[in-house]
Amino acid sequence: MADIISRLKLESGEFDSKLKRAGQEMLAYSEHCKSMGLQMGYANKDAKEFAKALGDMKTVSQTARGKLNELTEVFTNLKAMYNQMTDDEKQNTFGKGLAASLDKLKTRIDEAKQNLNSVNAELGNTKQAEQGATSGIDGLTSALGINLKSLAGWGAALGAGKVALDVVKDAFMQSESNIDEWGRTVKSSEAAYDLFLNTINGGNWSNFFTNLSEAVRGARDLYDALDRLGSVKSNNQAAIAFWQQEVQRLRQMKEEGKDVDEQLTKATEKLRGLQQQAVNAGKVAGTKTIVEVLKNRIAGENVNGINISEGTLKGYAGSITRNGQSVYDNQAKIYSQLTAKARDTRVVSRINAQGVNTSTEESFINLNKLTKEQQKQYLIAKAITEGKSEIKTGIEIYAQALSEEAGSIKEQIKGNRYVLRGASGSGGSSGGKGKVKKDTKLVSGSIADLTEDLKYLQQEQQKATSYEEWETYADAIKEVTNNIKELKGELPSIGGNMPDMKAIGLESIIGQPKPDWKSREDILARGQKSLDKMKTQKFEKQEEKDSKNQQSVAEGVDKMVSGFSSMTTGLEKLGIELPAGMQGVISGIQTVSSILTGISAIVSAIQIITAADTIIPFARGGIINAFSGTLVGNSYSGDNLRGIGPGGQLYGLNAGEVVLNRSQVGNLASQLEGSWLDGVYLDTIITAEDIRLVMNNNGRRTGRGEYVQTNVRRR
Amino acid sequence: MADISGAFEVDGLVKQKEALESLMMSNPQMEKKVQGLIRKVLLVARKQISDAAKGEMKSDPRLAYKAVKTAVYRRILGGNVSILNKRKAGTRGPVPPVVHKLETKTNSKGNHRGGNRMPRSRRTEDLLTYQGADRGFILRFLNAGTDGRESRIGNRGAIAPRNFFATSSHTAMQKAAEQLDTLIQDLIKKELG
Repeated sequence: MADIISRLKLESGEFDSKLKRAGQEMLAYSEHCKSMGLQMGYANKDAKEFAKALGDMKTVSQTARGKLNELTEVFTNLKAMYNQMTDDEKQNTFGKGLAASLDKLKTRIDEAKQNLNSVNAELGNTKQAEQGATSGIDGLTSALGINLKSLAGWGAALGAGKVALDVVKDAFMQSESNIDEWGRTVKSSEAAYDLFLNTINGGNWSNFFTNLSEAVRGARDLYDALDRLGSVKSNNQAAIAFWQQEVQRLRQMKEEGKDVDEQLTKATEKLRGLQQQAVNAGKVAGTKTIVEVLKNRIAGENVNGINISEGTLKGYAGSITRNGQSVYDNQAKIYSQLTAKARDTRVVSRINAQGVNTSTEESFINLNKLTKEQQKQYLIAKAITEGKSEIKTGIEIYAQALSEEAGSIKEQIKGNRYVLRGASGSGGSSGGKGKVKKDTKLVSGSIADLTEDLKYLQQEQQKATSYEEWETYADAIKEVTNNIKELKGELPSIGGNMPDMKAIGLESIIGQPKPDWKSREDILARGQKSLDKMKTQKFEKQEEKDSKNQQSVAEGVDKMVSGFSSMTTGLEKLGIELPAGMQGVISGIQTVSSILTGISAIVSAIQIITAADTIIPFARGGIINAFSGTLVGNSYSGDNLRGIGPGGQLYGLNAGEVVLNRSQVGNLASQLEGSWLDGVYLDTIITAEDIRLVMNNNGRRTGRGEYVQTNVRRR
Repeated sequence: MADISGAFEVDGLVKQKEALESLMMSNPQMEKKVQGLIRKVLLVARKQISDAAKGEMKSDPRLAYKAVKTAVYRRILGGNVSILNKRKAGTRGPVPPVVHKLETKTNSKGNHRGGNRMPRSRRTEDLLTYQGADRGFILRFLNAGTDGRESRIGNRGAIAPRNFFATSSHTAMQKAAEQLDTLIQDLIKKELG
């Protein structure tokens, strides 16, 4: 029978139960927040947006001056708002409360100013204290997180119930005991709010109250760690600067030949100790930040109350800082595998707003399908995968600490080498005192000096307590080893690495500081010696396959020779005096090119040729990246592939850069002139669908309506 | 501590809780308001279905489209739109006296003004006027169609089913449901605000 009646029904059972539950949970949540020292209230739309911004708020300032600036800014804003209120508004509870808060703020500002003045007086820097106390007003969302507009909105919305429930940072109104306590409460409010958001997103309230206190406690610990980092950095700043200055002064005295080894060692150690404090604090803060992020994220998802200890999270934090992206990749894999394993379906009956009861099958993550260990892995993997951007903050803090540590270790090594110079000068006993020769340059020592250095560095490397320290020593050992080889003539000296380029004055052209002439002459003399050797050496013919490369090598050498000639002209023009050995070098190279039959000798004598296939055949253009085992293949910066063009121009190239030949440049130019479509053929095809759409669009536009196709039904 | 009354104290939250509970449908006042909203949206749906009925008839001198009726339930939150309503939409006009067959007055006294001034019989009156129940009947057989009809004289044909009610009511009621959703949300905001 045909339908003759159509019904509409509204199911309100679930609606009512949700409302009731929301009200009850709100009260319970409020009570619990109160017990944590937080306060909860409802907020209107503006305040809701403000609270959202609160969650994204950056860390509060860690320095005394920074805190003072923030207090001053907030006070100024609130004072302005208070002055705008009418007399009636000032007399109501909100106005009175605001006035009381302003008084308390003022007291806190005065205290902060006194603290800052005393510190600056100690450093003798009173002017800066005055400047620090009067900062400008940058905006309403200061580190206190109080939004002026929202406060006004709250005042207006009193008595009205609204739907959003937020964690309100009330520390400003409540905690005035000291700045740190205020800061810690802000941090704990943020943590509570983050946990609240995560719980809402996860939909699991059962663990929320249990984890709220943990989140607050953890956030306070994190704040303390960050605060300590800031304090250490600011408090040690002056001391570090002082000892750095002291070390420089002692090194200068050492260079002048004075006996200051003991003092230099002590000063270097003292400096290292001070720097290490900041490093340790940074490492702790960085690790804690990562642990905190993981903890909060896990707490929001931990439906079954799986116990994951802080030690485990610290281990993961350490792994992230050590291994970086590989940890993320690994955890992402685990997360996707366990998610697939835990996926389950369930039938859910819903009554929508239209009052229609519908049953649907939906997919969800059922952690009960996993074992306890797998659940633990899942929670950790999810927290790491989804919390990447928050973890980044902790990594940055940790990385900063590591780079500072590397810097301080380098300083210490340098300082100890200075001390060692003095010891070797007196006869070679390490650690002993000795007179330094007048003309000896501490930077470019003799082979004996460098060998002593090498032994010392190897010993210190064995004592290294961390991987970064070990690596720093390894870099220094590599550098010293290279220097030794260079002095022994085992490495190319003419046009070899950067020091040799310096030796022939090129750095003057390319903006590097001029080296000392004396050391340059030494290197040139060595170069001349090796070239003389090459003249007399018999070269054996290489295998057939090298014949092409030999030709390429020859071309390269020719270019380099002519480049050298142009370069010397250039140097003369610049007024740089050439040492006597230089001409000899150039003539030596010319001689080499004329008797070129072997590659190995050339390899040892010429800078850019470090392997038989290193000459870059750019006749067809190409991208510099195709040379394995050379400096260039993996070197994307630093212009490490250097040479001299035919016209004497210097070039420095990196991997990934492109060299174009003449015809390629021509193609580019023709494309730029607009003839790039030459040889491009297009076909146009219009389908019935397109025609229909065109007709419908036209019909709509002209008011004729759409062209609708209908099927006529026949009975 | 600054006292921003209501916003940061538990008392304010108690008020908030009461406000939320007043929104529950079990609250008679809220129920009454929602029933009013249902009535509103059903009237809109009725209009749409009536227009569909009008569209099915080339001419409708008897105003059969008026037979589309709404009803809002009392005990549950809901309502309906139908063409099943047996309530009379209007009243009959004055009913002429019954004239039996044996009492035919077929002959009229014609006069210079002409015309047949015989009073119409009940049957004639019924055939020539449509009342509420009849309107519904018209819409129902237009909607459902008829089988072949035959009179004593011959075949009178069949009426093809239009099925206009199913299609138009489906669209109209869906729209009504969406509108009801919006209206209820506005009501909640108003109640809380």
